[in-house]
Amino acid sequence: MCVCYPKPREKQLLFHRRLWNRLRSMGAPALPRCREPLTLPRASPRAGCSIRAFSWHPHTSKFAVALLDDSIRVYNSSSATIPSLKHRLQRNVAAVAWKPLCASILAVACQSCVLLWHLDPTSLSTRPSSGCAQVLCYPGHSPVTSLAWAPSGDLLLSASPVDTAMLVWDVSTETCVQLQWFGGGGVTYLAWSPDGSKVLAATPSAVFRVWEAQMWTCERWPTITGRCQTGCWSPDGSRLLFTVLGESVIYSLSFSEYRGEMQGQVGGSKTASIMADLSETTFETLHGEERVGGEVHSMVWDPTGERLAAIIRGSPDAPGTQTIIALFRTRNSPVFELLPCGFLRGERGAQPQLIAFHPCFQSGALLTVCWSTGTISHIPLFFISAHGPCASPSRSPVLPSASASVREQPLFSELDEGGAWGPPTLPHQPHIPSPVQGRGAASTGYEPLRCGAWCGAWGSAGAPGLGLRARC
Amino acid sequence: MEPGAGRQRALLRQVLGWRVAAAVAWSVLLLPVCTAAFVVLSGLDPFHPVRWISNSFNDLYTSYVIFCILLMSVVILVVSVFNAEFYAVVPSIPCSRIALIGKIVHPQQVIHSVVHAVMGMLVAWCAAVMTKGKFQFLAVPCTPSESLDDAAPQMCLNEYHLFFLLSGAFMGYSYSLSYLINNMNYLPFPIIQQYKYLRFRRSLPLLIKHSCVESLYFVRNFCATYYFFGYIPKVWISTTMDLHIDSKLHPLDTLTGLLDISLFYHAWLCGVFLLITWYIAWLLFKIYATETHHFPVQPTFAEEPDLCLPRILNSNPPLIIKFLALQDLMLLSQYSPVRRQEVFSLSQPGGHPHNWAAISRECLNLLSDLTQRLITQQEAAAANGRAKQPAGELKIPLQTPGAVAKEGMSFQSQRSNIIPRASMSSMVKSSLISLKASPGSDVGSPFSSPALNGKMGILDVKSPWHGSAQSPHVMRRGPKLWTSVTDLHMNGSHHESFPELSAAKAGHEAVQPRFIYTWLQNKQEQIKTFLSKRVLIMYFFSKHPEASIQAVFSDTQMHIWALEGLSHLVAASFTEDQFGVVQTTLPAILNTLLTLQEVVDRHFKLPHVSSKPPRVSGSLVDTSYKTLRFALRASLKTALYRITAVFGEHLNAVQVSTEHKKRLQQFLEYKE
Repeated sequence: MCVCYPKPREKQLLFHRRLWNRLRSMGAPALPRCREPLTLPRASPRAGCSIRAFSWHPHTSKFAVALLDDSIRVYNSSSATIPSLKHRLQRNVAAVAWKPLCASILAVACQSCVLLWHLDPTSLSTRPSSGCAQVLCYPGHSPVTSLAWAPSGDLLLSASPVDTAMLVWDVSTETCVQLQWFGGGGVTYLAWSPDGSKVLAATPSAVFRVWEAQMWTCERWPTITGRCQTGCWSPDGSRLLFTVLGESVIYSLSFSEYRGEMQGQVGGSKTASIMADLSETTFETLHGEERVGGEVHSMVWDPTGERLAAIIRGSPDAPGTQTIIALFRTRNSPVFELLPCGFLRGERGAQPQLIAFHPCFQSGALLTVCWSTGTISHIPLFFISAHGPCASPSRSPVLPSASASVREQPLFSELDEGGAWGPPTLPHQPHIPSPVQGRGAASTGYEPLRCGAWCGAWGSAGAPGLGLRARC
Repeated sequence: MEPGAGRQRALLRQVLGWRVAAAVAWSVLLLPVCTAAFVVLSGLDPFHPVRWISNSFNDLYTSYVIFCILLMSVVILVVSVFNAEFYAVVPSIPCSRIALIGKIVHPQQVIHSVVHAVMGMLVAWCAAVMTKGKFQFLAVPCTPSESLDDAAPQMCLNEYHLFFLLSGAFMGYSYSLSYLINNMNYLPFPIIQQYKYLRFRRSLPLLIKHSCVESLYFVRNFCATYYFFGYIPKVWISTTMDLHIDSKLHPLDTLTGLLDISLFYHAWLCGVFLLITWYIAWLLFKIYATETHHFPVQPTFAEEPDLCLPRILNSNPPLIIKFLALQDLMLLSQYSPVRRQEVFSLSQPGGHPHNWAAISRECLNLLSDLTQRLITQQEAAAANGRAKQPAGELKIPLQTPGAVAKEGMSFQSQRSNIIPRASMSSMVKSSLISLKASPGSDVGSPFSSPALNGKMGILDVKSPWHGSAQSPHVMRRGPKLWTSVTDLHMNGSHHESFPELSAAKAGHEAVQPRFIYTWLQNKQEQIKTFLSKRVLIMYFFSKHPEASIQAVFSDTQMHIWALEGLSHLVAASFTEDQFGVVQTTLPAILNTLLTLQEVVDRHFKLPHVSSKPPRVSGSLVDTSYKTLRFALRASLKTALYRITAVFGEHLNAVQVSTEHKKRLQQFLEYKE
């Protein structure tokens, strides 16, 4: 059953968008404005961004940060040396990614190529020579802006917004296979599902694709308003959450369970459903009125599948809104649930640029936020993983507490008052203090959230069946 | 032997037969499309587009074209038969230029070349007939001369037609040559699985581009050849067929004759047509032959037990079947929980893990064979570099392959076989170091250099490896730091025959004074240096280090799949193995992988071994066999990490040697 969206409206919307773009680009002097979202597709605007890319090592407490001057630093919790990576070809770094099941290989998406740094984990050198870098380039495949490693560690996907083909690299032999399709332009965002079975590839146009990673066939999903901004997979690869430019909602798309027997089928459901409406709302706080809400620019799901963080950016027209990180509590089985949980805000003037979860944090989840001031803060979320069948969400209180690295004051904290989706049997439990509290967080108490307003505003979009339809 | 061979052939036919048939069918079906394109392009007339198009479409239905298509189908069939007969999953890599020349003049290759040249001529004849105009016939009436008294018009040789035919033969031969030199018979398996149509579509633009460029080179070369030797066939044909040579027309084997744009264009187009049709047949065969084949893990009633995965792996099937089976193992271990469950299952009466035992045994055998091969190669390389190599150690790995192959179900014994090998290699190292540290102290030891022995006048005849250590084959090979498989076999036979030889030699030497021997050695050395200074000889006989290393790793795709299959299965067994069948083999697997890891690491530390793969350009001809060793290194590491990441601290309970335990700890801490 393939239901297509009524064409005329879609076209009309598209026309308006194009007109608007053209009007905007008329004012721009030299740089074509429409190029900007192409080359920098992610939530990293050029102005005020001091960190270009961030990536946690998938197995150890080690991360790589790409700075504005295109150098990359590798921080390791167990060593004091901070290698700084520089290479002649390392220009306009847009993404970094560590190879899974490997200690030392870091892929860097550059202007003209993909660089693979081989960093000896036992080396004490702070400036690895450029001989440690392997260069993967392919004619016509530039600029490379997104990378994704297969969780099994053998393949690397690289994509460029101006190249219609996505490349699958066998990095050890430097051979690649082009995955080509026609229409839709290049690829602005790639996300490989943690179970390795599917890949999300967003394009600059109002279409995104979900590839199945065995036979490499894809399902094409046209969206209504704009391009797919970001997306993230549940740990078992059965659910995809994504957001679309121009809409302040989170969509969910579920996939049939992957068993390996249905070769060459992606198995997506027919429609995407709206999971949360994040449109702008006003909250009364001690510090006055706060306006929160807008488009989601970046979204990450923690490896246990229990917390979701999203950067929400208010519309630039409205003055009072701010960029803020919203935290959600999620549950994938038996029924998918997305419960609002709290907000994170940086210091005054600091806007969150990139967020990532630590891939193997033992006691809950560790959210890392790169702020526009250049600060990177780690925010531990302590909870007991509710993988068991009897574990209820009330056993996992979440306190967004700031780490020592940034002094930030959490605005709200959600205290299990249930809400629209909360289980009715929830015991009314007061706030459980988190085992470790940051210095900043300790001083300001947590305010109980006004559940009515919060959930009233954000919970109205629970009805599934709206939104997108797949075109088979 | 006979029934075994018969069964193998049946197996091959069963698995590969329909693939070849489908590939041929598709390439024949695509032929009319290519022919139509050729007809349209050959009648190119940019100034009268309407007439051009209408004429070309009229031409398509003529009997000429239809007959040509039929003839070309036969040509495609013959070319496909050659593709199917000459394919190889393990490329043969000539290590020196003389080996390459030997390959070219090999009778098989000569037949290949001759048949392709004839086929090329047929294609060119078809092309000439379809092009029409001045190319169509070999014999044309001569242009009437001024002396009108000749009533009967004479038949003259149409040199254009002859040029076409010869260019076709030349291109067929060139194709055959490039097929050999570029190892185009090698079947590279794709890095990702894709549908056949998509693979074909992906390669098609590359194929067309490659054919156009290649054809340009071929035509250029042919023009040069024709310029110099064109008169020979011309005279020969005209005399045997009693045709005259038209004196009015320009002869083609002159500069002005060859500078004919139309001739050049049509010859080039004919070449493109020939190459595209042949490359399509080749590409389709490649795509069909490397497609995955689904081997059942457990025999059902309907299927033959011969086609089961464990049975195939353990028998000695044709290589392509083995490759397909290992590829299928890799895929099932990665993607199919249901089939993994079959691997981990127990046999119904008896409760033995036959499937797992057979699969893991074969994978481990493959990997330990590779380990031995690498050890032998490294030690041969080390022996080339230094004369002090304790050659006796070489014999240990040479004896083991048979022992391992004969090993049955007992993994315990296999493990005990592997551990000493690992310690042996470190022993080699330590002995070498001690030798370097104290050269004077080991005068009487069997490891001491023969030169030193000679000086001291000590001859230890009883030492079993004295002969081999002293043999000029090991010592005097000069500073050659690489070797190849063929070389290894040679070495092996040498070492086995040395003890007797040396004993005889020693008896002789006991009578003869020592200086004769040294004089002989000196002479030999002089001859060698004399020969090595002759550039031509060195040019032909010098071994290319890169090629030798490629030759060692030429069949490593098997080992990569075995590694991936094993590691995925072991990782999956953590949650899926209900009966614990994998646990019993885990120590053996870890030992094999760690030993191989050590040996591969050491291989990449050898001089002349580049640590980075050479740049592969995106060309039609696949050269992935050149980089297999890098793939092996990467997938070996990934395989170990895959196991350690899943098992984690539980691995500390697995019985491995302390050295390997240290190594495992490094893997657990992500420090490798």
